[in-house]
Amino acid sequence: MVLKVSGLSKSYVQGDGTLLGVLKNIKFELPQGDTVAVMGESGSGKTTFLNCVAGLDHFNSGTVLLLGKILSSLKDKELGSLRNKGLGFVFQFHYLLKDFSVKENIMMPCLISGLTVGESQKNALDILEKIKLLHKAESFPSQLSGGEQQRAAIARALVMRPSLLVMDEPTGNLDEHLSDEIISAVIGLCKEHKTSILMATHNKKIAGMMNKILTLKDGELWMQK
Amino acid sequence: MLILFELRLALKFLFVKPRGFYRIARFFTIATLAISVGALLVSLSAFEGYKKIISQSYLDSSSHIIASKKFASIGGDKAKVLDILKGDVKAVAYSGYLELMLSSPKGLKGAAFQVVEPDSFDEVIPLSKYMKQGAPQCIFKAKDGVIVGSALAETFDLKVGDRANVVKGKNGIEKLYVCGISEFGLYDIDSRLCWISVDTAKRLFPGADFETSMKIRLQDTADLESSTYKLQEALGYGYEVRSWKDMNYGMLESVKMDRTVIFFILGVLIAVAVFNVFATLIILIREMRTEISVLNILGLNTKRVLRMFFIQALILGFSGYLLGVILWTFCLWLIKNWGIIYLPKDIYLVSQIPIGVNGWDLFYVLFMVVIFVSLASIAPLLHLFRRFKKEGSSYGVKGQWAQ
Repeated sequence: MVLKVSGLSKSYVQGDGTLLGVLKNIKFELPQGDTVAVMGESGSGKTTFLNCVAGLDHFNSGTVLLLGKILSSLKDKELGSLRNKGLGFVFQFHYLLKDFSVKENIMMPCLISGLTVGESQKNALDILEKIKLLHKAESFPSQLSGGEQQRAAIARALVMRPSLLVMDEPTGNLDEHLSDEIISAVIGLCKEHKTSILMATHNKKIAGMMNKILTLKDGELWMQK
Repeated sequence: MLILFELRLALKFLFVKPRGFYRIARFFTIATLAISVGALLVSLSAFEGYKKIISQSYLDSSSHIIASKKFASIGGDKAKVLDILKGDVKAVAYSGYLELMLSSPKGLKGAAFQVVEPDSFDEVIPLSKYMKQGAPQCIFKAKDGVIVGSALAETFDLKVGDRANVVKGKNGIEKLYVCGISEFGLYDIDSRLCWISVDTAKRLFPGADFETSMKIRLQDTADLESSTYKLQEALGYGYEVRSWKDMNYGMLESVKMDRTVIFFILGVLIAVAVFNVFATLIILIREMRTEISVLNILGLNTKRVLRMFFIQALILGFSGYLLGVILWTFCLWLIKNWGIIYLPKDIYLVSQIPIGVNGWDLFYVLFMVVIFVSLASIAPLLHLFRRFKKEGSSYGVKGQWAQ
């Protein structure tokens, strides 16, 4: 099991001091290699859910068992290592570091993990070739099209061959044709590495490409497919 | 090494593509630090140079140790002194002292006449190093020869070959032959010190004792205090033994005190300049919130993110320090070659700012910069640490920055 969530709750304090429950007692399991889409209206808490299960945000109660480790018990260093080696993240915006070339951006997780520059470069070029972006290796993010930027972000997320890829509206800024192409490429790469996918999306077509579809409504998670 | 990665990131974010207001903040941080470091180093060099010139001039005009006998001549005690100090001694010479008036149509001025003997004179007092004109031995060769300090010679418009009028009180005026002009570079010495031989002194004042003190030059200055103490102990309290440092204690301590005060005053200037490091870090942390979050999400843990910013603060501090050192070197070159600042020599004893370099000063100032930069980094790094604690890693990619 890659991810096991039980009793997850998260609420925000509103301006008037009252609590707004975003996630309510959520239970969820994600086996190795499985692909899951989380759908829901804007503001339903999809991003909060992803951030909480991936250790990017704090939650109020519940347990998240990620890659065999209880998130709330991890120290900062262990959490960093877990995110570096076990998780990949793709957001709606590419969030590539603009001061670094595409290749350097993709090398970043490898360098953070302590790999040498040579090893990191090899890994980066391998994944860039697979995602058909090798010719843009030395370009800077600002020199890429929207689709290329998102592909580079996906390459960065997958370069460490993580067990779980977390994507938050990865095609939100792309047209339909490009979205299909990119998600197909991601699914292909993830199958190759047995990487599980947990994706939040509004796009029903993209969601349909996953094994399971869940809907987040009123802070609760419902199985749709 | 993992720290190299943080160093590379820090350099990249600092210098490769600085952006926005940060570029201006970085410039002011480095510039103000460079100016304050440069100012402190120039001041320390001036004090070092001043201390060196004063020490060297006073030492060379008087020798390491001066021994005298209370109310009696020390003549005949040379063997005794040599026996006490044995191998520590380089040379010993008897010396006498006269205070007389020099006169000319321009007026009268007091002068201190050092009465020296030919034997080991130049070894005890290396006057040849300080001769502007003539040679030290001229006072033994020429009849009634005198070596006059350069400032004194200037006052009376004396040149080598001239006759200097010496007032002997009721006994009238004697004419001495100016055979040399000395220049120690210190107005206090050059405006009052003259040198004559024992024979000339005896001719001026027949029957007077000119073996009133003994000047001792040591092999190694490190033995100064122990040799002075040893000699005093061995000779007993009928003798007075003083080192050149004891005799110039007030002057040397005053320079030391001034140097310490300047170090602290200009050190405060550096502390103020380092406040810019604090402001720059705050700006950097705010402008880089997305990058910080992304790096954290990619696995760079909080400690390493904080380390990266601390390295950036150190790089800023070190850049300012390095530019300050360059500025200091340039100022030293200017002062050495062009003078730039001239001083009234009757007040400061020297006419130009003397320059001396003490390698330890560079280290002390660097140490000071590192300490101040570290202190200035605490608040911004704590701010960033709290942000991570409060909002988690994703705060930067949410595009939010809660106040």
